[in-house]
Amino acid sequence: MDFSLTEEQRAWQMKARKFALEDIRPISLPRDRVLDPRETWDWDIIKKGSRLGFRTAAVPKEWGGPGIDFVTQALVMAELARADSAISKAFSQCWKWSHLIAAACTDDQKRPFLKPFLEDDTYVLGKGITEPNAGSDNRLPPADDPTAGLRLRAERHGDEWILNGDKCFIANGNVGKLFFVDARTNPNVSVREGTTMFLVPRDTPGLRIGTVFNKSGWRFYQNAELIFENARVPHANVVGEIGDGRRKSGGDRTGGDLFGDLELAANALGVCEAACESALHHARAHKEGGTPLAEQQLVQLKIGRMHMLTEALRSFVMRVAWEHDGNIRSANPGLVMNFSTDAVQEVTRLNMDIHGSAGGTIDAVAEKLVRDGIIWSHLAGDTVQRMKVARRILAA
Amino acid sequence: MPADNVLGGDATGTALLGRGASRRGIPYVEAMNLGVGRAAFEAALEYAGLRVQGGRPIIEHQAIGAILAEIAIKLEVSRNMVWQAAWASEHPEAVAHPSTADVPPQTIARVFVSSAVHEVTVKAAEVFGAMGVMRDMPMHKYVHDALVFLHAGNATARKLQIAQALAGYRQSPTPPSGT
Repeated sequence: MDFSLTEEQRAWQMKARKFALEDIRPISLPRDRVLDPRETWDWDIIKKGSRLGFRTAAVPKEWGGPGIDFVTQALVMAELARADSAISKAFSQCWKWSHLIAAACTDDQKRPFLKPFLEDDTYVLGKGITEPNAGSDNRLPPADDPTAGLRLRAERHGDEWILNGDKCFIANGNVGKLFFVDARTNPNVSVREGTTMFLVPRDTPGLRIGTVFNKSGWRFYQNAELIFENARVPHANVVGEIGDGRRKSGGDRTGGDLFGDLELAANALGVCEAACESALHHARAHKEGGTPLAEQQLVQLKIGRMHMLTEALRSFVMRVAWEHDGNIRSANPGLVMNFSTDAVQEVTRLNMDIHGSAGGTIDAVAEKLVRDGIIWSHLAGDTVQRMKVARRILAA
Repeated sequence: MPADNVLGGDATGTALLGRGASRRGIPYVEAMNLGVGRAAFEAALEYAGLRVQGGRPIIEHQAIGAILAEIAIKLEVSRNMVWQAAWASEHPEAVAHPSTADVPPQTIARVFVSSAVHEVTVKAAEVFGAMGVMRDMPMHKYVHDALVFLHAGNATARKLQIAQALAGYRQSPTPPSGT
């Protein structure tokens, strides 16, 4: 197996590394410390990253974007996450749904939405799935139970759909200009059969932003409540077929879980790299009881384990990205997502241990990495996310 | 400082650090640490009974039931350890016999409880899904508090202290940091 990179892949990686080190890293801790969750976002970094191509990186070349492949996407996400996991996610969230625009939208839909997305450095995307009473039920819907899963209702009135209900934890909710929203168009069948996806611009009448959630990690990345009160969406904004919404995003397409799984794993890789870097620096620079930390056996064992997990994750991430580029489908994207939870949480905790061995207060960088790592629990590594993958294996 | 103010009457430090002193250690911090785990457990248990996904309260799913069971086991073992350490602090004669290994119950409790409760709070937060990471919710505070106990517990230094006690020699002049 050949893991070497092409010149183009290497160039994107180096561009991302430079941007991450010079522009993202200096603002990472200051942004993380902003107390008001509505104020953690920084448009300057988004605009600068956008001008470098990071916001639109996944838009295919035939639609005017850079169209970088999955291997490059994984490399860029990891490099950005090494400087700040949440800022990397803010960019890759746009790729997630630009895959969807390219894969699932008609040409008539691509023109009005893709053009401004490509041209406006502040045009960021989000997707509305989760609701207060529908989290795991969207990921692993119980069969034949119409009451389970998302309930936001969409009813057709002529050429318009009227949407009513609440979405919560919606990524880029407070800053996004366009949302893909899953709504129930048939409440009498299961969520898998009765859901339709809509393109909902931020300025849709009847849509407003509610709470911006105050998370302990990923502070920069804004998750907000979207409230629909008789929101009017044109029929032309239906993505795919009526009743096809969940199949479209959850199935065998790059716009759904396949990219999302790789995204979380590649981001975790960047966090692990940051933790390894932090641990090495600390172990080389500090002494305890007259002995450099780096010479202590227990510190060495921790550093070894951190690197072992990080390199295992890197190999798995790059393999899955390479499989995506070759259209090879398996349970691997889900497995690497699950594994990235275990890796990122253990590696960041070990880094904290190494910093802790000299006592005193918790190192600010080490502590932030631990908080960011805990975000993986509910996104990538809870029992539902693990059973979902196991069922794919069992069903094969 | 007047010489009379020296704790224990002499400046050798034996009152604080001498052999057997840690056996008298009262597991205050360990008990507080345990309380954090208990708070996280009780919140997760209550929520798991209320939250319905997959057609029933999530506590009825094997996956969540097993998480809660594991949490309960870790807390029960932790509680036994804390109580044993507390008992030992009042019965130094029972653990001071020369035939017993010099592994102070309080140190065992500290290492075990700080690690167990850290795991307990992370798993309890997982039961809450995204609500487990919200700053406005108590669960986030339990996770963070447990992290502080884990950090301050400095398990590495304590394990080395135990190792030295087992081996019967003192290797490093550095006492374990943290409280």
